[in-house]
Amino acid sequence: MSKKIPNKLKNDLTGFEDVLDLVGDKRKLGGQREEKIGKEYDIQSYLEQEKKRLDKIYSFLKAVNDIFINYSQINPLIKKSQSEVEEKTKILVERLYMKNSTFLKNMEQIYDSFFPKN
Amino acid sequence: MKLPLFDELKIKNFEVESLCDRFKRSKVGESPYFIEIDHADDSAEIIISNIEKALRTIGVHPSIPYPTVVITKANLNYGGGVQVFKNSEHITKYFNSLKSRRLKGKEIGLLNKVDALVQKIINLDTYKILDNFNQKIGNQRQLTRNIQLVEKIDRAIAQTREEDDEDTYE
Repeated sequence: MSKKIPNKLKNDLTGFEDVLDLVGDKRKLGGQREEKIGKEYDIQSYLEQEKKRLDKIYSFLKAVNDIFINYSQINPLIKKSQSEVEEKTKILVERLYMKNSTFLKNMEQIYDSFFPKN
Repeated sequence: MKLPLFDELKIKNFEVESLCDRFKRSKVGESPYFIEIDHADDSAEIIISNIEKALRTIGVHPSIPYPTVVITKANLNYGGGVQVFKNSEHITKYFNSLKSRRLKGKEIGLLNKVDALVQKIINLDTYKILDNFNQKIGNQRQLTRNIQLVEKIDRAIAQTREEDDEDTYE
């Protein structure tokens, strides 16, 4: 949309109307050309993006495969985690069964509530 | 050779063997495809699991390198590997954004490179790699969760014990 020119400035612009029209047309033409160029290169840019995407997928799959076959750290890590779980569970159970522990007190309360002392 | 853009795969027989033949003929996996299903809820679920079986039989992953998706309006309880959409508008716009036209020299060169990469990915045993990865990572994740749970209980016990000790002092 064209902007309205205030009446005060209209007098200053007399004689320049033709030049201003040319500027407007040029902008319009430039926009159309850019759009056309964009359409010309859309498939090329899509294919370039696609190549990058596929490259990343391939290198990921290949890296995962190579690491698992040649330098698998997963099994030792799993073993380490298992022993850690066992160790911590052992400490936990010891804590639970300590004399006068809260767990034992609570269990005692529950037991007593089912078999009230006469 | 065609541009890797979404294309519809029209199928009449949804048995595993005929699906395998159809997928091989259409080179599923080398380009993105969508399959529309108009069946009711139960049969749609069977059909989708048949599609998944057929893809596994021919060794094509449903998402790598290109997605093979199903469009159905049925309400499903499906949680498998094939992506299911309610409408064609919901499928990935990335593979749906262009209109195919006659390609120029540079574009053909790029398409050849893309095709070579696709073949390389297909030649890798994607199912085996990803299954192995998921299984082992899943085991480790479960163990880490167990460690965190035990630590949490341990901390809670230590805290209650400290509180009890403070009570006895008072």
